[in-house]
Amino acid sequence: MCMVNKIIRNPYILIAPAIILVSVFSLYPILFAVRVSFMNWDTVLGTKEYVGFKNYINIFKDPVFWMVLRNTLIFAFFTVVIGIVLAFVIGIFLQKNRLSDNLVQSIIFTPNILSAVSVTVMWMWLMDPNVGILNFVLKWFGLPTLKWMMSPETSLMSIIIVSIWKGLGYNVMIVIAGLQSIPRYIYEAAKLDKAGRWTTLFRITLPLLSPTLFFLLITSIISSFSAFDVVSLMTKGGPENSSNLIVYWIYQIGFLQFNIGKASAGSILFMIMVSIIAVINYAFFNKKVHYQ
Amino acid sequence: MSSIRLEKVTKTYSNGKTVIENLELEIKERSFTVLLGPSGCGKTTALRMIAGLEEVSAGQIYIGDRNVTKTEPGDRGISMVFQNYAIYPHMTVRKNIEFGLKNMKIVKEEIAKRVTQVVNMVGLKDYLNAKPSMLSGGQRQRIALSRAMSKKPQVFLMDEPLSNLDAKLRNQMRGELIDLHRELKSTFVFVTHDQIEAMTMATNIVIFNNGSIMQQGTPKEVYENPANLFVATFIGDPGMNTVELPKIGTIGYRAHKVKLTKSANFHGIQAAGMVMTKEMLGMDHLYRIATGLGTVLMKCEEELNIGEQVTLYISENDMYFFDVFEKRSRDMMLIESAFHSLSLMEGVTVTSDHVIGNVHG
Repeated sequence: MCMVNKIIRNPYILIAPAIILVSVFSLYPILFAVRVSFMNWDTVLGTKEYVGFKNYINIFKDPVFWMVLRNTLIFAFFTVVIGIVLAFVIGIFLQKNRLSDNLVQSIIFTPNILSAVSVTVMWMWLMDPNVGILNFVLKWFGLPTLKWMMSPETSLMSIIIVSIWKGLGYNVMIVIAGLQSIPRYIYEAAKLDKAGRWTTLFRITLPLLSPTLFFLLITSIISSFSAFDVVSLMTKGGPENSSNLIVYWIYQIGFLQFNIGKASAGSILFMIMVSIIAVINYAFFNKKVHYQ
Repeated sequence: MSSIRLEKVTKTYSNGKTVIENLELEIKERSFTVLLGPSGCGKTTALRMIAGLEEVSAGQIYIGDRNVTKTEPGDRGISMVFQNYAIYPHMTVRKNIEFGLKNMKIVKEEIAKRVTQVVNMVGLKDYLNAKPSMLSGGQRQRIALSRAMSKKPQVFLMDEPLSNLDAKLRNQMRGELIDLHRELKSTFVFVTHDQIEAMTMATNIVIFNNGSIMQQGTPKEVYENPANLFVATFIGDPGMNTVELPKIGTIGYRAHKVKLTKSANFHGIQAAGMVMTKEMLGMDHLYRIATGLGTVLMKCEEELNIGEQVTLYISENDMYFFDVFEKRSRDMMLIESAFHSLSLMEGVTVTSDHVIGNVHG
């Protein structure tokens, strides 16, 4: 008994399960990818050799990479900003626990529990240039119709719209949970302090919601940078890479062109990029967040 | 002008429950009025209606001469201190105080002056730039107080502001609030369920039960002259002992008026009993004694042991009589039949041909 206790009290034994899982499923693959990124490894021919930084140099010379990078940044910026602002506005209107609010909340949340495939297929119908309802509506208002994901000009916008729509319900839920955790008596104190609607919104609600919004910001950035399903299902990165995002591009190189070395190098660059953004984020916003 | 008047005020919630019906209440200018009652009696609702945080279903509310029934909370010339302080957690002490003043469009210099003034009054001047999360419960309540004072309101509304503080701090804050009331010369309306708070601070007590006012008066009046059985048993620590006499009414007497010795010229009742429990209260003891009158609470300095046989003497002068509707009664017929019915109880002797004229009150 004493022996068992002694073993159990050993901290290294206590954290071992987590460490083993992280090592096998995260740490080892990362290190493996770093190694592969310095190789020319063709998975079809089965040849591999060390080539140093050649993969990285090739990527920087590749105009598609720069285009994909640009697309990813635009995609992330719009999905994150519009997604959060829209969620905040909708959350403000739906925060009271009235029956109608709960109903709308459920409806908005539904896309989140649907599979990405059905959501995307539905939007492809809506956005169909010939028979889609979106173009029908545009025509009805006398506006010029769009080619949506069929055209290089609008394909990125199309996947941005679908991504925002799919993630909105979750964001609204989180915003509402945050709003409801602000005590009612704080608002009553503000009323007695003669605070008007806008003053209350900007001086009371927004600062007290900032931890929630910061959480949403981080999770939205991570999910928008790693977006894959919408691209893969709707546009396959096309036309002419106009809607290609970095994760899908890495997948194309690794699993369609079978160039695992270059794909690994792309992954490593992607990891570095996301880390830098996370650090900037934290440094910039942490001071503006009011934890209670 | 800072008196408050509630005329036929009714509050019905959206679920159809009426918590206050036709409430008539007058709170005097510059008084320290405590609304006292058990939880759920409507005292907080009444306060929140005065503040404007709760809509009035029917009736009118006046502050001074002004009908404020439909006025926004911020325009009523009041300040409120909440039970859980309700300070803004993301603002420093200074910002907390300034927030309301800025909304009132007061000029900068005046704001700065008032902030300095109020933090000096409550002893927070070293914490002006601290966030509330760094401060203790007592200090947070002081932020709320100074925020309320900075607006220089005619009326201070306080909703159980001391109940989240520990006992020692509560005692201290009670004293400070009394001083504050004297200094500010404005009307204080204070809600509590703690009768010690009410008795120590109030110039006026309004006792609530089930949404209506049971009695209104000075602490001394409600203690010495309870208008009904509810007030008699609610006020005092402990509340009055009672003996229910079917079809006649109820007799009440205070625990510290129960004596172990017979005084000269004793008129009253005498009851044999046995000590059941003993509580040490410092100088006094509180005993529960089983007698023919039921369980009697006695407060005295004498040392008794549990199980000891005692004889208790309760003077007629210390007794209060209530009719079957629980209203205070001085009706001689009632008193006489009460004594008669007491004399029939086991182990109880009525030791006088009682002189009714002596009855208290």
